[in-house]
Amino acid sequence: MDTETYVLGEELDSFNHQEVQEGIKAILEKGNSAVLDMTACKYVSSTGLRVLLFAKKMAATKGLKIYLKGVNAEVQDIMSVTGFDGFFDYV
Amino acid sequence: MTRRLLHIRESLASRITLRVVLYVVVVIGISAYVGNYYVLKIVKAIQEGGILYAIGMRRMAIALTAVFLLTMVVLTYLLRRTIHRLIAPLTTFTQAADEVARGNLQAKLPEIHSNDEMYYLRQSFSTMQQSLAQQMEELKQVNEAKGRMEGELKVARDMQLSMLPKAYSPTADSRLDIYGSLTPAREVGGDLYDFFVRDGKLFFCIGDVSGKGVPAALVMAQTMCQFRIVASYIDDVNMITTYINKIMSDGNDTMVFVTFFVGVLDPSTGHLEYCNAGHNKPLVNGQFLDAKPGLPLGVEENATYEAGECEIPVGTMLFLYTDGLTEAMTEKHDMFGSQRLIGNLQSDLDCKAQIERMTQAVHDFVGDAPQSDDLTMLAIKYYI
Repeated sequence: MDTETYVLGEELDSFNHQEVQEGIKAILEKGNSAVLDMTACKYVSSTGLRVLLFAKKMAATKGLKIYLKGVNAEVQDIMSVTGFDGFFDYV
Repeated sequence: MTRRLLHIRESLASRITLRVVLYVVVVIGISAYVGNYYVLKIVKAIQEGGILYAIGMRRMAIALTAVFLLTMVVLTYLLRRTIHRLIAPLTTFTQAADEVARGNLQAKLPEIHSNDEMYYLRQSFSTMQQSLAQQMEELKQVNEAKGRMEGELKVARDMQLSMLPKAYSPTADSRLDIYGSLTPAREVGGDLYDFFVRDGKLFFCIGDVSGKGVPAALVMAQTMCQFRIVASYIDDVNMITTYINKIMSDGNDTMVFVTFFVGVLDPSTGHLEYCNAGHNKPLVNGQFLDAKPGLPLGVEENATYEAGECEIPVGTMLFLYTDGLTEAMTEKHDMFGSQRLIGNLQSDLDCKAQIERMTQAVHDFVGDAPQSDDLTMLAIKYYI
């Protein structure tokens, strides 16, 4: 299965969630699994988390996957506190 | 007209120049002809009769000068009149512009028959008038719609806040002290809390819908409704959470999720059972409850949850909140945080007083910064 990487910026929130969602969607629609490079990402809001959830769900319907890469401690903490420990696949 | 049809653009400058040249040629031509007649007469007189005749010709010379002066006056007058006529529409434009500024968009514009800059100025001015009129109409409609929307949101806010249960004070029959507070960041919010007593036990919950405003409020209402229904016939906290989660996950295309904490307290024993779906851990007597968060509601239909249990001593406060409290920010983006939260908990306060104190602490901390998220707190105590 081919993968393609999408690089995220410093924040994933209500201001850029539409753009990021379209970007990931484009990769999945080509039939590739998506690697989300979150090395630069310092903050994810609840709207941002929804994008990740949406991406995972969409990937599953196409038999594809999404992987999170380079998630830093702060973002991992946000995700753990909201119960997303072990929910996403990492790479 | 023909010129306009053929799209031949004229130029005001060329027209004025043409007129000027025309007048100058005609007037000077005429005066030259007239002057020439007198000059010839003077020359002839000098040739024939010498100086005497020449002196007599002085009247002729004065007449000649007068002719030239008259020529200049006529020329000046004609030139002035020409330029004035060509530029006259500008005065009307100025008046029209003043009229528009006063709000009268129907101000009359001068009729221009040429195909020069004046014509195009008139066209542009007219276009501007129409465009302004249209924009003002659109703005009026937008403002009306906005007013309607604001009215509806006010009503929605009242409705949402009245959905929340009222406080409990300890009475002879019920030894429960419960107080809740919810302040939406916008007109309506995505936070929720609920509690009710059934079969001698207190069922309560607190939750936070991802997002803010109207979309979050819709899901908030749905979640509250589900809690009431499901907790009315199911006692087990794990099952309550699992059922509500299944319902919320079904058809959740936009992936809205709800962090949720549900608890069942038996005030006759102090036994508490609870289940945490991705929510902030509550505090019991100033210490965080051991409640590992499971997945929030709505994420995965077949998610499983872990229930926890503990004993709550009499008169001990159970304090629940949403992240609008710990993440309340100052203008410099400093957050209220858990330390300040714990620091403002005072064990001897009743629930209402405790929440009022915490609310005040947040307001003092945040200062003038606008509220960034819904602020919700629920405090529970029981006595025997």
